[in-house]
Amino acid sequence: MSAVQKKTKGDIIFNVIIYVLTGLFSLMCIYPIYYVFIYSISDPIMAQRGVTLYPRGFSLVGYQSLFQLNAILNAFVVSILRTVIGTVATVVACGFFAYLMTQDSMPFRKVIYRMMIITMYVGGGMIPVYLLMKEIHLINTFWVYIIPSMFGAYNVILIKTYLESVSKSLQESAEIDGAGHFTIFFKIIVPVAMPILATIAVFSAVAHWGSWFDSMLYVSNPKLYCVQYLLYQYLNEATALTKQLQQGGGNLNTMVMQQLTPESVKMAITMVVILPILCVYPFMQRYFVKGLMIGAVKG
Amino acid sequence: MKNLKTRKVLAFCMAAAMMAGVLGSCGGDTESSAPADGSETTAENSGGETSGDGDYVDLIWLSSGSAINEEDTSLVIQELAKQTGIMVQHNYVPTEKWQVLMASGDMEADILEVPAVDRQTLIEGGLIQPLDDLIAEYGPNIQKTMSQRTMDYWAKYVSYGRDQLYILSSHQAPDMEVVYDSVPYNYGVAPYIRWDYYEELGSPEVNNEDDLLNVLKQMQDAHPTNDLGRKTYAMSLEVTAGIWSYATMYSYYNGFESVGPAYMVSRDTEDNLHNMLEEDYVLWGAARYYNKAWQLGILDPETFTQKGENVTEKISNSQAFYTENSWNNYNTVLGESVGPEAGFEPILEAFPYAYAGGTSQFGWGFATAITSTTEHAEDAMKFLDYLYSEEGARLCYSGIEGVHWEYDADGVPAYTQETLDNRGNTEWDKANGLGKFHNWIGIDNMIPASDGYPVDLSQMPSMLKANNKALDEHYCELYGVEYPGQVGKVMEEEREGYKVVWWNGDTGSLMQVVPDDINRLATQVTDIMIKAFPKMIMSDTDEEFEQEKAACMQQIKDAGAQEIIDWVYSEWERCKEELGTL
Repeated sequence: MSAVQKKTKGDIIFNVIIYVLTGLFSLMCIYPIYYVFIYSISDPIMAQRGVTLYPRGFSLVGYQSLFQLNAILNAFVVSILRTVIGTVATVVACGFFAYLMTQDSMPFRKVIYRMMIITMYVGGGMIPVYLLMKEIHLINTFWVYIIPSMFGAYNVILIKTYLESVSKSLQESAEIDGAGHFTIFFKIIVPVAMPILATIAVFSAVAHWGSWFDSMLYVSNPKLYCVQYLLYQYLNEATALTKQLQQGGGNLNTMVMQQLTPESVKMAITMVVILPILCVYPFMQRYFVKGLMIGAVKG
Repeated sequence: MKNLKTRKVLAFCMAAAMMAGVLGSCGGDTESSAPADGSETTAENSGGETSGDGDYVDLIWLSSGSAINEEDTSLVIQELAKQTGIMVQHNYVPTEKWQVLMASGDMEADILEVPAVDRQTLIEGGLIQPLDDLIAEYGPNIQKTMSQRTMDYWAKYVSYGRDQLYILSSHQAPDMEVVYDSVPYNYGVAPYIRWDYYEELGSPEVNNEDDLLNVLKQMQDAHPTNDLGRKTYAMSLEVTAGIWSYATMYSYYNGFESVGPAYMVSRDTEDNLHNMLEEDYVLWGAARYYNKAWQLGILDPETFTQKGENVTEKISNSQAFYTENSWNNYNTVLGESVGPEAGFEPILEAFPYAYAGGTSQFGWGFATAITSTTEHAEDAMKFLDYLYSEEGARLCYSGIEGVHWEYDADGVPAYTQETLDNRGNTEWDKANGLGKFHNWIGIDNMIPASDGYPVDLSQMPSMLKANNKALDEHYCELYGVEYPGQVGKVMEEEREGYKVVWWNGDTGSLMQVVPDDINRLATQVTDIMIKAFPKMIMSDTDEEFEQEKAACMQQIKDAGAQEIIDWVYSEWERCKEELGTL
């Protein structure tokens, strides 16, 4: 029979304090999302009077207006496609490269690997990268979301470290049976490396879903905007107008009264954009920690 | 089983790749917009080429700023395309992308809005092209509307030694006096107070800022909490814009306008300069005004930390009774939550000046150019020229004749009932596009067309009056006017020395870009003031205020304010001399 440790008074008090503090911290993390939600379902006019713990009035006009915007539905399709295709491309590209880096027969393996490491510390900068994208005709195409982010040095390091813990005998036995590199990779390596590849897939999917800067920089066709960039545009509207006024761009009195998107629509857009990742992330988060540990431990 | 699963995954990926390929083929080219009236969609076309059905040339107009880029299918843009044969898509790009495009040497557009800060880069970088020849051949309306003086100004002062016209300024007026004589609908920048609370107090006389502060104090005493039990402060402001927040509004109320950087120098209505090292400079007056409010206990302490949304919430909740502009829809919110009599109106009597606006013969800040990489320079010029025509200006400002406005039996133009009923309706505005390219229309909105009425019909007194809501009607009745803006003119007649001011920006337009060393000093001085102003304003006694003010003056003096002032003064004199030669 195992001994049960008796809790002292001090332990109980300590636990209560910890629970209260972490509870408060959790509330602080959850409240902003809750605020956005109750604002989005409040009456738009009454909501300007302030929303704290519960909605003011009830109105779905924000969501109704939102789904009348063609741009939102199109942006969702773009975001979903880039997430799916981008994730698959990243996993295959990084996985195969990492596999090659573990092959002794790969020419200039060490040089290539070290060049890859350098890219983690040194970058070209925003303008040279833009010029490169322009030269290779990726600007304003869907593939600008996929190709530049296919390869990531960090992902390769994680996979390579994991593959080094896999027994070489698996590969050798496949070679004896006449398997080539592609066959070995897809039929031996991928099944064995599934945990780390799943981790990379989760990293990649979250990164693609949340990405907006590439959309802002490389894409000018509104039909190719991703959903996060669209949210960015809506949320920054008011800031841009204020900046225009302060820079004295025009006459303060006769400044065009741009019809700013109502706050309730902005809140509705925010809810809709974060909802998919809110649903998926809690189930995926264990892979982050597990995957990082897998990559860190050598066999 | 495993094989089947692999094949399913592969099939899904290929299907997704096919969809992506379809989407990818949409990239790079603009498409013709679908007409808003439901007529047949024009065929897809690539940027700058004629489309199938509409025979339109597609051009891109690019502006720097954050706005939502959507395909424009409004009626006005369709009509512009019909009249000019050119379909223009107006896109906004954030500052970061704008900088990258400039660095890349290709703005990826045909027409640009030219921000003042980027003029030199765009011209010296070869990103925009000279327009002299294009205007001579394709710009008859530009030549008619823009004075030779204005064109000479842009060629001489904004071409960085090239003596060519690169930039077209908007809102031109052959006769600027029409603009200076006009009366806006209301004063966007003015001291606004809760009018219903003011009338509750018996509408006490207000002749200066002290009277105004006392009235606000009485309002706060009469309404110490709002209906939600929250404490009220008569004055709750937002100062996140730094010195601009403190300086601008109060300066305009007192007949001053800032000149040069860091608000070190201002001019009065007689064009005399004053500077921050003078004891009675207007910025010290602004600090004193807010300090008096603080000492009366009517200035919200959260003024120095809160954001605009917080102010909006407080005002909408009747927690604050004063605002310095009319840019928000407080009256709509209060109208719904409290009643039609609740809302804000300006108390112009409190200060000796009303700010009507500012303009310049050389344009008021918005300007356009044609990129050097466009393949359709002639078409771009034709489009811009149309915005300088009476017909184009009337279309952009007021909409389509017969749809949005029409002539009555007496030949007087007026908006249709549908237009009047839908003003302020965002969705209707988007679908119809009234006010399209407003900031870049060549002719100022007050200028009369050949029918004798303003090109912008919303500026007609009868149309301005139609903007009145219940509270505005009541306010107008009190002063015996048709719309709130006319109250300023009543003040001019009744109060000696009172003036409604239109600021003439001609001299300021000639000021050169601030040199780097002056800018550095300006940054230092601004930092000092941003830290000092809250301390001054929150002084509990007059003596404390004077001490803080003296300390601030000494600090900015030590930081080199005199150098900034000297530069602005000499630059101003130079500009006045140059203006005489134009």
